[in-house]
Amino acid sequence: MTIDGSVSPSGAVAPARSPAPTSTSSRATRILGTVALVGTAALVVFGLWITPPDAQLGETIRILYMHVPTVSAAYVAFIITAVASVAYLWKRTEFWDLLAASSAEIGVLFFALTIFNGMLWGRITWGVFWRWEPRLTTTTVLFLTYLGYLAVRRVPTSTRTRGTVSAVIGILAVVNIPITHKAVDWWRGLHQEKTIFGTVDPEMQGTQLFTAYLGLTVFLVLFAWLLIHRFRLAWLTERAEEQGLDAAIAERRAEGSLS
Amino acid sequence: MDVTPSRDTDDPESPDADELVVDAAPPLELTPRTGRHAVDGGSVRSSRAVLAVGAVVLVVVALGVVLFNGLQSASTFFYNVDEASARRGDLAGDRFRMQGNVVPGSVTTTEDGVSFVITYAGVQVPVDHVGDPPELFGPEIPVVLEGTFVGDRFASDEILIRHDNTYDEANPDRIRQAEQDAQQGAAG
Repeated sequence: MTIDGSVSPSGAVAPARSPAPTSTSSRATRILGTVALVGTAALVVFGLWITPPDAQLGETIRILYMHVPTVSAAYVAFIITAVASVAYLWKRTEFWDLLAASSAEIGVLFFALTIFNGMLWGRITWGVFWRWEPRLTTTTVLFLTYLGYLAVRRVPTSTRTRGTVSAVIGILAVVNIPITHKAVDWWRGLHQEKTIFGTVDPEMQGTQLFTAYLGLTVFLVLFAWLLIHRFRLAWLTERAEEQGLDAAIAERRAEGSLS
Repeated sequence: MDVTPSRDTDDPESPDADELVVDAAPPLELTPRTGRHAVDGGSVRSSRAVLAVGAVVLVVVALGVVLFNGLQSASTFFYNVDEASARRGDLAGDRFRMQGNVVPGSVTTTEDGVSFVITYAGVQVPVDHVGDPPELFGPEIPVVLEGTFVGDRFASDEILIRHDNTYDEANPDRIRQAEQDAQQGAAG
């Protein structure tokens, strides 16, 4: 990072106003973390023991209690990235830039999990891990787009340029979500239609439906918990880099005054 | 000092590097690489922004083309049995996917796989499948077959099970089954 970039007159990087915290933990994250932990335990009990096997799918329906929540959390993460990207282009503050980046990172994690547990389900149900059918094809494009977003963020450049370019990508990439989500309706493929959020009257009932929504809630809480920690980590990383830069400048000045 | 637009002027250690570049610029037009001069810095920044936006637009267009082409073939991921049967002439020798439901009672085991009849929208096609059918294969199950037409029959080497978005708890059925068994047991 150049000196020009970090202290540019644009104010892209506001100096820390108060002493930076030394931990990413707070009362809010401890509560969220506890809820996520208890919720995950409940989901395991409901998903693996209390719900009965499906009439057709048998035991493999249990994978869907994780598959639908992970993809929903990923979509929420990418939508937060897009909203934060718009806010960054408008306000130009470090907060929105780091929020967009942190959310995209966790979104990619959940999306990778979705692809993985989906492939396991596909191998057992369809008989194959993968086919280039519409939902899986659009899913791949979406996944690669956000990997690209994260890659662009690591290109060495000024903070402002990084923020601008990644914000534009973060906004454009979100267009893929409705396409991926609706792919099962628009084109014929192997993937079943939307399980929840799809119809007014979901094709699921009783304990199965309860477990599906429990999974959704648990994974959204887990996502919120991870996002807060990741954002604070990103913030502290920026502060640490600033401190390193200040130290380097001071060192150079000291060298200059000696000669 | 020899003031020429030589490589020396690029030397960042040279204290007069910028002035030398400016003086010697007209014949060579050395584009400034730093944003040190306010005016030049601004133009560089805006041209870079244009470049960045252009690159992003290019990537998006490329992705769009890939997506569109991919989906054009993926959107005909399979033909239904009636469509495939109607296009039998065009599809002769082609490998494609065909979707339909397994006709109950038509499944027979062969030496190297299974034979059955698949139906959709009232049209039936007999199928010879090579290989073990997947676990969920059975009567009424919607399947997607991969293979070719061989005469009137469809030669398949891959059976994919389609699952729709209906889920049903297995327990009530089992309870009902158990009740029926119990009643029969009591009657018998």
